[in-house]
Amino acid sequence: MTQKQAKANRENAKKSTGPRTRSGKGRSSQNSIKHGLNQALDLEHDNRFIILLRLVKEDGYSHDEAYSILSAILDHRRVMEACYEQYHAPKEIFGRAEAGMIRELEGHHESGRTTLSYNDRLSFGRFKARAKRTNERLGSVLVQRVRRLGKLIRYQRRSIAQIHRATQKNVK
Amino acid sequence: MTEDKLKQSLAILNPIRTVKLKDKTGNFEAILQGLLSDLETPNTLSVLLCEQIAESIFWMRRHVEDKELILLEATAEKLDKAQQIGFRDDRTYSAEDIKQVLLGDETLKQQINDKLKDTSNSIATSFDSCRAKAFVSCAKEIRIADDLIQRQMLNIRHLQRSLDAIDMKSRIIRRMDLELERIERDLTVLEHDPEAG
Repeated sequence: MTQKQAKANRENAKKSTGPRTRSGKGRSSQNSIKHGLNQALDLEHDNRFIILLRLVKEDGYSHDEAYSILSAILDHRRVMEACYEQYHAPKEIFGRAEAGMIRELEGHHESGRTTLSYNDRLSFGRFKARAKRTNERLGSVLVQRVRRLGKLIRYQRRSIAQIHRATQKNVK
Repeated sequence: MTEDKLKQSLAILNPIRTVKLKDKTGNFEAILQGLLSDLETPNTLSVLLCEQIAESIFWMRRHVEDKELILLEATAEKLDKAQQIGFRDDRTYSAEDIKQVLLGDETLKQQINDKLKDTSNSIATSFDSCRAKAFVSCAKEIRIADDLIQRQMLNIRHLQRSLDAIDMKSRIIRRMDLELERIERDLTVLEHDPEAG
């Protein structure tokens, strides 16, 4: 990349002011959320909760009893749904895009469309070795699943304890 | 009798299902139906709790399978590494092969051991040493898997207690309803008793 191109890139980047529309801002505000399990539950606008609350009250429970038990169960649902998502999340692979680009460039080099210098090939080789080491450390899809789910154990503990407390307190 | 209970429970549960697992094996449904058929007095909360218990059992089985598979894959990887002299990315053995050996396939085990001896690689010289090394290399993940299994067991235990409390509550409510009905009936009889007064 020439100095002129680098300067142009920096100037263009300064013009970027992030998302402008309401929906764009809404989307980008969710960027750093991993599982959202530390956020408070919004039960007032949850149709499922409203329906369940009515049904449980019809079974003879008071509003407070039904509210506390159901909010605990729905919190547990949120945790278990996050577990399900984490379990089925795609395998994390380091340098997937870069490896594709390198393969493409090497293909062009072999067919004579471009010429790769010795230093280019050396840095490609180094990158491939680094990617291999990092991917070995990241582990197989099974290992990654187990590690991700392990991080959610404490949320399961919390939600189950809430259900237990709510049922024992309200039902006795 | 059990089928009636199951139908009754499913009629309550189906419109309000909270667990949506994409389980092609049908294990979850089988566990759930087994639990629902044992419910004495099905109501909204008890069927919801049964659903959560069934999910926990499902996850516990899944974690046990994953734990076993992690160990098998790690063993297969160690065997491959022990047999390779240069850099190769392809795999000679799969987790299924390792499972066969562990189930008692002596021929395959002998074959693997012979190949390892021929390679004379310093990493490992037998199937058992590869397995021991694999166990060490994935000990952390196995511990996490054990924690996950333990967590599901505790989840089940807590949910069972909650279900017991809910079930007891339902019975108390039912008993009180019957009691009220009896009192009302007695009152009506008293009001319309021609001999009274």
